[in-house]
Amino acid sequence: MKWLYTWLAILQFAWMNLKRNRMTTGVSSSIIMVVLWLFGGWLQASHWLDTWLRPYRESFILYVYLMEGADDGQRVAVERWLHESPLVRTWQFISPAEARRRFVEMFPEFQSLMDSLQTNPLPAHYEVRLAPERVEAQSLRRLAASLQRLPGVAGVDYQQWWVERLATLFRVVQWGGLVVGGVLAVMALFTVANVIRLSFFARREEVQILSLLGAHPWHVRLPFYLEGVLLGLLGSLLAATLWFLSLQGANWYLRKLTMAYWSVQVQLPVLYSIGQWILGAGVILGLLGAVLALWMMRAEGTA
Amino acid sequence: MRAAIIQTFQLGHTYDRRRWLFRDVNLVIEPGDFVFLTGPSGAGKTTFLRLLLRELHPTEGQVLVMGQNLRAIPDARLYRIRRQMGFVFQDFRLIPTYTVLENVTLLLRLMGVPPKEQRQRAIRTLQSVGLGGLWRSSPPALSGGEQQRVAIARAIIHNPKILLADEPTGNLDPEMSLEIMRIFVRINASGTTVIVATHDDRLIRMVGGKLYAIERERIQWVDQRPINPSLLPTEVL
Ligand SMILES: Nc1ncnc2c1ncn2[C@@H]1O[C@H](COP(=O)(O)OP(=O)(O)OP(=O)(O)O)[C@@H](O)[C@H]1O
Ligand SMILES: [Mg+2]
Repeated sequence: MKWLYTWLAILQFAWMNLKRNRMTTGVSSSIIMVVLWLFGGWLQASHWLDTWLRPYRESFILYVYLMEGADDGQRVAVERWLHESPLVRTWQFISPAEARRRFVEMFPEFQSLMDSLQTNPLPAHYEVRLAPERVEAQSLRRLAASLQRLPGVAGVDYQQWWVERLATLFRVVQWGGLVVGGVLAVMALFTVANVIRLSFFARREEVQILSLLGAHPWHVRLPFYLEGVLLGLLGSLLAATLWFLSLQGANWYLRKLTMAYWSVQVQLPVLYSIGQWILGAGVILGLLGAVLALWMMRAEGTA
Repeated sequence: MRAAIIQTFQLGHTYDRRRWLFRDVNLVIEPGDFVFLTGPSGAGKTTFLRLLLRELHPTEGQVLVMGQNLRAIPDARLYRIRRQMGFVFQDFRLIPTYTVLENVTLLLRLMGVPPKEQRQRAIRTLQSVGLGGLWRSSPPALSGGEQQRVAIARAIIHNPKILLADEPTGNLDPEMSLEIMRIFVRINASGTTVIVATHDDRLIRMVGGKLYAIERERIQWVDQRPINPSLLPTEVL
């Protein structure tokens, strides 16, 4: 029971800080809101791209064609390579006969043509399925080049080049977003830290008196951490609301523009999960801001 | 001799390493003592009290409070010993944006005392310093003497074993000063060790108790007299 009253007092203290400095609270939570709103947009965009690209990437197949006279030793070398590559999920050896069977199955109209041939023109090869989360253009190119160099390998082929190109491009954009987001987050962090610092200076006398009266150091510090968390929470709640509203707005606009042909598809679980990410990020941002503030003040020797 | 509640060993302090306020101070204060510390302005009275609270570390020597060496207590555990003490600041240091009640219950709130009990204790304590009806007021609206008494209430609400008061009558007329002393004597009669820093000799003569003076870089024992019985609460007589 005692701790409950203590926490209530600490919460009250933190809340009063926020209430007393309405101006700084408003400005800083708006900054947090904007940053987290962008963060939500980034999450949503990443999610969309991912779901859009996934089927293409799941079905991505790399073909390793063997030379006509490739012996078992060479095959073992290729298989070992495939086995060891982190990019490869599964692979299957397709003998010339099997290749032919599949070809005819797929194109029955060529049955007679294939029958008329003396030899089987289809080479033995490996059908390699890749782990989509590991694949990007550069590592793929590297894998292909290594396989190509192995003795007994006639060639390496993969279609859907563009998928990987695109995926890589998106990943670059995604990382770029992360960097920009990081800069914004640092900005927001310093905003929070300064708010905390301001309220610390405003209550410095009180803090000092409390400490001399025998308040536990954590009782004195916690309200400021809590203030940061509350500030982050406030900003993130605003951001989540704004995020929801802007999705609705975008949907309305898109439907109007395309005469209800297109709309923004948002599944509820995705919305919830983005909302959670926004709230979580807000809380962490607030807490880190407070940690930064107290750290800065300790470094300055003011706390 | 009873175990000392406050003891100093070769205590010395200087702010600028040139002028020593006092040096080589070996003091013993026993539980239940009523102590006056006197000396001219700038002698180091406030500094001495701050050393007892460990708001400052002494330049040299040791301070023991209730058997604990203040220098050896980690910051995180200092609050335990401070809770055994009450401090009345020379300039009151009330928080102007809080009500009298909030000022007085500042520590109780963080100690997890239920709000109802906080209030009861605060009002009882305020009554004991003659301010029963003022708990709703804001400190800037009070007179100097009233503010002083709010500060005293804040210092004694958690029943400290030691009460340190820095120039508690500095801003008050003689009558009010005596009134404040009456409060201190009563607190002392209930077992609390009281240390008052003041340069008001008249007051010291009127009250009695143990007298120390800061003179020529020393804290000297000057005098010891019984507490003036007319200040004692009637029920003790
Ligand atoms: N934080 C400080 N830094 C440097 N010098 C200080 C500091 N605090 C006090 N002093 C100096 O130390 C001396 C003693 O100060 P202190 O406040 O202890 O005196 P005092 O006896 O309480 O005086 P008063 O009766 O005027 O309150 C003074 O000369 C003062 O200028
Ligand atoms: Mg002083």
